[in-house]
Amino acid sequence: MKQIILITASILFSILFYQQDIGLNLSLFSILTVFILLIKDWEILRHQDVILKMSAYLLTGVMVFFYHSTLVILANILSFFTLIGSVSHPKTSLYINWLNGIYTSIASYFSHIYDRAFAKKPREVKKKINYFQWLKIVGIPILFTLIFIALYKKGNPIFHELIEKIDLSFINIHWLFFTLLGYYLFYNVSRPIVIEPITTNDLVIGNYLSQIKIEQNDHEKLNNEKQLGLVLLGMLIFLIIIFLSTDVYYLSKIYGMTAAELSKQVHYGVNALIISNLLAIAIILYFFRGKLNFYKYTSGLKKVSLIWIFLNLIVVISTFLKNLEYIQSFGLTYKRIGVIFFLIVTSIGLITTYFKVLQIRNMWFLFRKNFSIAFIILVLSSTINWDKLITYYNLNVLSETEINYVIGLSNNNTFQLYNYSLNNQIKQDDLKKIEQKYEAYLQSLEDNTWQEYVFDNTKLK
Amino acid sequence: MKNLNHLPIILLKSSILMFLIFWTMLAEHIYINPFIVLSLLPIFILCVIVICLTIVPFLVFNKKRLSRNEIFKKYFSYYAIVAFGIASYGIIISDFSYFMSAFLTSLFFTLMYAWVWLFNSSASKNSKFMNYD
Repeated sequence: MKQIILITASILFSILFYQQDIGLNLSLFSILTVFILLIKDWEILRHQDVILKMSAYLLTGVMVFFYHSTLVILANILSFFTLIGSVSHPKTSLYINWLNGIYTSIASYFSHIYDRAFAKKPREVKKKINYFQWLKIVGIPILFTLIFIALYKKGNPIFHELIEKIDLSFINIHWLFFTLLGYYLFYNVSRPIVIEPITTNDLVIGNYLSQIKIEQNDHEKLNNEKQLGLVLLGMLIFLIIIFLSTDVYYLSKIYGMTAAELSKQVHYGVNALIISNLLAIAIILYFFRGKLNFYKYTSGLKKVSLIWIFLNLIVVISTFLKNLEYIQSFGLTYKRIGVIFFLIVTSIGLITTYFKVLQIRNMWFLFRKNFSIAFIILVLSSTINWDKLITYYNLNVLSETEINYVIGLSNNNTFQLYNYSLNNQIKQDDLKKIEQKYEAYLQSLEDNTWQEYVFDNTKLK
Repeated sequence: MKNLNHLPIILLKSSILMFLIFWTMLAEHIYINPFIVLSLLPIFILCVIVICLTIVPFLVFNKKRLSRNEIFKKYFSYYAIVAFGIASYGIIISDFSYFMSAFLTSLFFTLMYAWVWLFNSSASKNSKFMNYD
């Protein structure tokens, strides 16, 4: 029974993807994968974690049909590996899910044949296969079906036409190979495995640092380390305060800046922020890596660390304001949205570091939380049609817009641009470009096979 | 001396497997003639180089004296992930060309089978070095 399901799924895999572009097929593949996983073991639904990851996978699958952008496709692939890894072992961290998901998808078959061959227990004696019986079961019905098809064809011209329309010319060696690849993938997916010992280690290691006993001779060393930390962080706090005061002065002059000056400011600001925040986290993690967490005279160092994190967050806010001004004055672009995402992720990194210090957590806590939040942001951001949002903002909110930028975006804004060009006065050159984009997109939509369908296909008359 | 008596047989089996997968995948795109048998030689050389440089060292430089099963369990997963990553990257940068897709796909599956054969060969099971070769 399971074999029949796998064979059916692999044929569907070929029908969906063989010589096709991405579209509806990836959405259907997501549903098929979930179906196969549930058939294999419906009890996976008892784990809330699996349900959440399954929902994320299906959501990105549906979004591929709606938006068909590289971001959505990447989010869908990552969600696929996350789900498979989660089914392999539901309680592991997200990055272990990814590793287990990739390993299961690409090599579960080989791991199983190795285990089967190496198993110490003697293999169960398999029931002898009756090939003649199988030949009868498959051969006789096929033979009689063909005979009756030939008879009915002569008896009914519509049936004759219907049979003549069946085209099996797509089946060739390449197609069979592709189907075999689909079978391999579904076989792997239906037999999840884990990488050891990292999976067990991940389950054993909690989120808190283990209590370390401080010996008498540790005091001097810890005291020295604490002093070094206080001086270093004190200096850095002093520096960041000066930086922030100059930044406030800069922010007051921001409204009079040209696009080039503002761009330079934002980009330099972001680059400096990347290094500054990574260093900030690294310095704090260095001092709070071990015994200092449990040393009773470190309240001063902890307070200084928290002030340092807080000031870094203010630098993030300052850069955010510059970026916002940049967007308000010169429009929304992918780079500027990317800066916003980076600032959100950085803030989360700093906040989780704050909790790490305050609650005596370990490094794994930071990895687990930050990876999970980054994954949630990725999935949620894949539900937004960014091209449409950028186009709407730049065309309707800005007084002067760089229309060539929005014309150069993906086809997700084609209908929106075309409607805009019908209702507004725009330059002849730009109008020509929009019409060209529109015509080319209409043509590509018409050329789409049903597997490549996207939401915009439903708008065609 | 490590017990690698069965290595030549595994190299031969791997070469034949890669030959079959590679030419079957290309069968639709090029004319297959009897001279393709000659390609067994470069395929064999390639298998010798890749298997001896990337898989055999796990057995030869086994300082912790792990059993074959332990080596397989410890390293195969990472090897498979890295090999898959390199093969996928190669296929993508070749813009999914038929030749590179056939070459890298056949190489990936051959290497996976080589791991299974090398760490689970009947020779290793019967050998007195079974656990610590």
